[in-house]
Amino acid sequence: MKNLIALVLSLLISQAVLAEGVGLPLEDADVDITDLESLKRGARIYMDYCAGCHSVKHMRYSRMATDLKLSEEQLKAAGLMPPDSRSLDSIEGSMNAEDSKNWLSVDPPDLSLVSRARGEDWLFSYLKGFYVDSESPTGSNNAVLKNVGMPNVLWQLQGIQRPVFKQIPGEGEALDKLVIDHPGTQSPEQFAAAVNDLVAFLAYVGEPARFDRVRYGKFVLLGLLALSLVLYRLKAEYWKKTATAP
Amino acid sequence: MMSGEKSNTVLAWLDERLPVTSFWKEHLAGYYAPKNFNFLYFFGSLALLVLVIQIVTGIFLAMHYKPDANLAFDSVEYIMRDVSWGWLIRYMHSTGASLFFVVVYLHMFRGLFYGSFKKPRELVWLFGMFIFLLLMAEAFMGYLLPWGQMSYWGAQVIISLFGAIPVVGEQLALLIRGDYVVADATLNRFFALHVSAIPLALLGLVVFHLAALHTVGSNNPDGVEIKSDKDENGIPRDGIPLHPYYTVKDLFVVSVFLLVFSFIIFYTPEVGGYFLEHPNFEPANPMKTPEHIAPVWYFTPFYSILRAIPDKLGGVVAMGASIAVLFLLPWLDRCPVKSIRYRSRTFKLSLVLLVVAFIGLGILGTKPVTVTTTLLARLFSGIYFLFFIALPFYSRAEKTLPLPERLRAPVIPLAERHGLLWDCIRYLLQGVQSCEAYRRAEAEVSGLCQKLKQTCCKSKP
Repeated sequence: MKNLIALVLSLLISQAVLAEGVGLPLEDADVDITDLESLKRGARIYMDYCAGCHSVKHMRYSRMATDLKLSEEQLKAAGLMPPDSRSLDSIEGSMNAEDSKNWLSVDPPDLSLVSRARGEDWLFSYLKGFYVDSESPTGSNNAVLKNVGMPNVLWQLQGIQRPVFKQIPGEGEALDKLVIDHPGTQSPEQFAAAVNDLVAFLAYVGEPARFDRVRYGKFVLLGLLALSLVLYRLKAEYWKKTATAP
Repeated sequence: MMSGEKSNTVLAWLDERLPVTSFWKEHLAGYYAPKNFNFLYFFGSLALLVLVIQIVTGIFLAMHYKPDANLAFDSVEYIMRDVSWGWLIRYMHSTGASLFFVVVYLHMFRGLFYGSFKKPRELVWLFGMFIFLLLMAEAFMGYLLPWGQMSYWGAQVIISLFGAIPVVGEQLALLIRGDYVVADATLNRFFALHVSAIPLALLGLVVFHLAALHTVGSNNPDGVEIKSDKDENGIPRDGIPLHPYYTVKDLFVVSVFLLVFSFIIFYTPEVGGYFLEHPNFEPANPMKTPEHIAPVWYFTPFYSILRAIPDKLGGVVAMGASIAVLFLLPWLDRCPVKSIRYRSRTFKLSLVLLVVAFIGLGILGTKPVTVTTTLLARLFSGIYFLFFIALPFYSRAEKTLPLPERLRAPVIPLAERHGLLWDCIRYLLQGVQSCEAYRRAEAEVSGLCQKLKQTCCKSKP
């Protein structure tokens, strides 16, 4: 029986790996949304590099100010909030949808929930996974999301990556790894940390309630644990009489 | 004294107009339940609890949700972010939906395990099966409401199945959708059904389920009727009043259940993409089909049966049959002995295989189709149906063990269990207990308990 279960499980796992085995394997992001400094750095990168095209329409500046423990003025001074926006405004992209359709043939998606739809590891690998591709209209391609419409916007920081292909017998050419051709303003380690901050910010905007639920969770669980103990004693008290009954 | 008299008169006043006291006596303080209920018997009351949680949280969600294809997705996010405690209400509802099925599947398994569907409880089982059917409809329609990618495409796939029915199929699918594809009209009618029609029918059926149960009385782990052995006052010797004994026991169970429930809500509301699927955080897009459409975990066993059959109509028929066959269970099982404790080895083995097949189908239903998964799904579907096909044949002349005179323990102690399996387990346990590490750990733990008792529970001199 155990062997059968093991066989079934191993078959399922190998199938799952095969099904996901397109492009490069995902790297591990190391996101900590309780690290407010990391969130602030990520927010800054977002405002500098992403907000031109992408909105986070479900995130209000007021909420961001509260959660990042900054005042509205501080938010503006840190470049995390446009000077002309108001407290209850949400983060809107500045690109016109019509223009983006003409330029990139897609409307850049809203990023409010991208971390929950794709996962943190996916975002981390995706943002690090751009490489030069002369056949692509934007001049770049991506190791995680093939033929992506988005151009490589972080190239100044990361530098330019070149793909290295390998031959797989029977299947042809496949992406092996990416190597940096022209270094950017950041070292690979610095860039990975910057992308990690950005992913942390996206994870935070995906579910701002995470702060609340983790904060309240322990009290709820402790309260229920105490209640369970009391109710167990109560139950035992009532059932004591029945234990001796015939 | 005064207050006692007053309450008596109030009660008397009420009793003349409403059957308060008689209801209390008949269904709570004077309803005798078998005294050896074990943990498998908690899931009925837990299902009732989850139903209440779903209705209450559902009312609050409906205050803020917008059943409109252009607004639905954003209104859910509005609840998650801008409504006070909205995230808690939403997570309670989404976690409640999944735990409802956990509880109901275990409740149904209990019925199979101890033969609770058998004479005289056929109607209890049938009402329960209708509840299960409605619960599936309720969950399916509720799942469309967040209007995410999986909501949309899941509904598209499932509703299109009705199109496979000959002659009326296409018209029926059109009627359900209210449009040629899943669209605003579908969302609107699913909302109406999800928040009013089906919950009302569910509540009605729950009343019937309980009324039928209280007419015939509860079954128990021994499958022996407690009503057949009454004392001189007409009270079953092995019975115990539901209130206060099982109400106080259920209270404890409820608090343990709430611990699990809260742990999920506060620490892992998505449960790795099983309770809240990742693609559903992307708004529905009728122009973009997801690579892999999978229903929520509680539908996957039936979805696997559907996919196992290469023909669309054949798949729909098989999936329908896999649910319909459960309705027939009281008449398929012809063995007069109810509880698994006294049934044959054939039945025990078949039930184990059924559970393995059901869980296997459930796992396969979450995976993309490959040659291996299809093969396994066919194997498990075969085992699933074989259980019900073989049951009427072997159960008629089953070699059963003699039934006990009085009820035995809720859980039979290991030392009193017979058979090769229990011999093996006893042997293994002895091996573990005799090793040095175990003994050291045991001494450590008992020492710690002693210390805890001395510091925390010391009574004052």
